[in-house]
Amino acid sequence: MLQIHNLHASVAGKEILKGLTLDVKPGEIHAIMGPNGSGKSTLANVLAGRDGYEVTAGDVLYQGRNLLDREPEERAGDGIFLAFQYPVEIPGVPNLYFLRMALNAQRRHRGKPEIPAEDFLRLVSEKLKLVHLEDGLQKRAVNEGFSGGEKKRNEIFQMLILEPRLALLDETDSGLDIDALKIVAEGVNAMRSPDFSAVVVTHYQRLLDYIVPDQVHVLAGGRIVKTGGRELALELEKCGYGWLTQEVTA
Amino acid sequence: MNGARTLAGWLTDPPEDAGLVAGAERTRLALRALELGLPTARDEAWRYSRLEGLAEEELMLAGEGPAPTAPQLTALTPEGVRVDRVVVVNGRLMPELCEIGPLPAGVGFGSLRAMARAAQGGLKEAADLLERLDSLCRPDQRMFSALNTALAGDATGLWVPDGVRLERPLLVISLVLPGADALLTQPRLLVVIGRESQASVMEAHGGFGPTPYFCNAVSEFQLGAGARLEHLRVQRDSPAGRRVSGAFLRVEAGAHVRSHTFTTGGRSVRNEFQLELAGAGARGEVNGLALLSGESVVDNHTHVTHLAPDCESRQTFRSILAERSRSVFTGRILVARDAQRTDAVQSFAGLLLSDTARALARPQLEILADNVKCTHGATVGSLDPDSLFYLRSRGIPKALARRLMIHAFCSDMLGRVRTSEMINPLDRLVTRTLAEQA
Ligand SMILES: Nc1ncnc2c1ncn2[C@@H]1O[C@H](COP(=O)(O)OP(=O)(O)OP(=O)(O)O)[C@@H](O)[C@H]1O
Ligand SMILES: [Mg+2]
Repeated sequence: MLQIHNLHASVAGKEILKGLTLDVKPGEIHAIMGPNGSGKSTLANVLAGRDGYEVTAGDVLYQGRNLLDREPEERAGDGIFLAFQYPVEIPGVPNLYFLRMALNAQRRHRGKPEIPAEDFLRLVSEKLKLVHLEDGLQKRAVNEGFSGGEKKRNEIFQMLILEPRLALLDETDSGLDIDALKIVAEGVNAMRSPDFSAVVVTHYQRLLDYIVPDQVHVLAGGRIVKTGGRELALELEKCGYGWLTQEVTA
Repeated sequence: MNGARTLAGWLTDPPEDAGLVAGAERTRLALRALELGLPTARDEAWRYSRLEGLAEEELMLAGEGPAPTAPQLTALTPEGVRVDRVVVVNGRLMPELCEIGPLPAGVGFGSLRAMARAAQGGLKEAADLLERLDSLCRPDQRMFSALNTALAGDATGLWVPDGVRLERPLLVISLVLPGADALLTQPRLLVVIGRESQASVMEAHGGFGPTPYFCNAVSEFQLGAGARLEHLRVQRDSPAGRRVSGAFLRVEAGAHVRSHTFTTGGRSVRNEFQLELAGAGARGEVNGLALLSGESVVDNHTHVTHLAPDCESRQTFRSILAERSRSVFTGRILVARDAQRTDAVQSFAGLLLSDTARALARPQLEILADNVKCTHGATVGSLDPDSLFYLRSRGIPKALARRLMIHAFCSDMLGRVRTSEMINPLDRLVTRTLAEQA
């Protein structure tokens, strides 16, 4: 599904990713943990195609094809979804209008016809229930005046509507209460299938109680420094990252 | 000889049939316009309008024009709704294109010249309306007003007596369709809304073709106590067109006016707004949205005067500027000594879509009363890259995402329009203009 090999990327002339390698197979969920500033969001942004990141070496294959020369909207159309660490407020653009436009743009990209209005509305009310968001929020502008938790659930709601093949969740659990955390996890679990993969960035192993990962990686100093199973997350929670970064520099 | 002359040439020797007033008064106004003269490069209030060379330009005084095409006519007309409309081409009313249905008793809408004849025939309302001509637009101080009254071919008048509520919006379509020669046209509108009456008036101005023209529009609106008026003005000029348009509004006690101006295109468009809140509790809203590209310039000047206590004024201006276009907003608020508890708000926001576009805002407040709430703000910026990426990351192509954000920037301007019939045509116009610019 996603093969990252020896990826180097810089922001504003500063190298952040320094030879990152990661292989995510169809149907797998990978968790990425790591200290603040280690490059987790940078990785997510590079994969989603955000401007301002310069890839200086390495390559990324998505579904067997070079990903890095694609525009962000093409990546989305091909099934990549980024749940933002900080979802953006866009005044003046109504949420549902935006979402329908996004869904139809992706369908066009895949050579499918636009979704009929009534089917879209049915889809919306079905998925809204899953994330326990009020209808009223969808009439507002994108994320405008949403609480922190509502913004995160809105990201998951968008994911459920757009049905990506590869979801990149950047700290979607941060700032959530325990109920909201479960809702987010249920949203991701509802997507699980042999051809859906996810890369879940988190600081808390608690999320991984609900979204059971196939692998857990530690990203430090711009590289994956350790990979393991679920138990690695528990270990990190207990001992922090100190012992790992020492291992790296040693 | 093709008959084109300079502005001064026309004013020195006006043709027999030109002008909205007769005899000595017309001669006086023509002379006054000559005395006042066109603004020069040294005139601070005019330094951003591009009127250079206008004094030397040989222009035809608008006259007979070609029949407008259906798209030219319908571009700004609401679909599937009945509106009463007057159509003016190159300054001449086109009776065969006007559609004026039965109106409530006492309401007059149509050619001011026809009304003048009716007044001579003894129709009191027509005489009352004509008496108000020039009472707001200051022809003795404002050259363009004197020029308009002295040389306009005809004008549109609307008289709404006291206590009448007009259900349908009234539309004045005013087109400039120059032939081979540069053209001077002078649309004129005079609206009087009686006490406790209500109306919605829309002006649709369009200029077409590659030939230069100068359009000098003047609109005067008087609202009696407790009246309600929504005034919508759409101006869509060709890159060869220059326009000066003045809206002069006087609002008596407890009356409310909302005036919206949408400007697109044009080589240079100067919009002047004069709003007088003359009676206690009057409210006036003046909104301006400009969507420009190429080398277009819009120069918005407002002059809001609070003359009475407890009045409210709102000025909201937005400019969306692509390529090398320019926008200037000069907003003046004057609060007279007696205008206690004034509530005045002014805001400008410019959205720059290119590195070469420019926007400038110049608030000018003059406050003589002491109990006043008066605020102003101006922002100029470009499209937020984080928002753009957010939209694209959901699969929306870049061009569409940009358009969506630009539309969002001006959606509150469309949201201010209350005349429901006009919202869709305006939205179509904005969407089409944005699509053309993208
Ligand atoms: N636009 C930018 N300009 C300059 N530096 C940047 C930019 N974006 C990221 N960085 C820097 O890159 C480094 C990695 O940032 P990144 O956001 O990827 O970290 P992270 O692992 O997601 O951290 P956190 O856990 O706090 O979210 C940080 O030092 C950050 O300051
Ligand atoms: Mg981060």
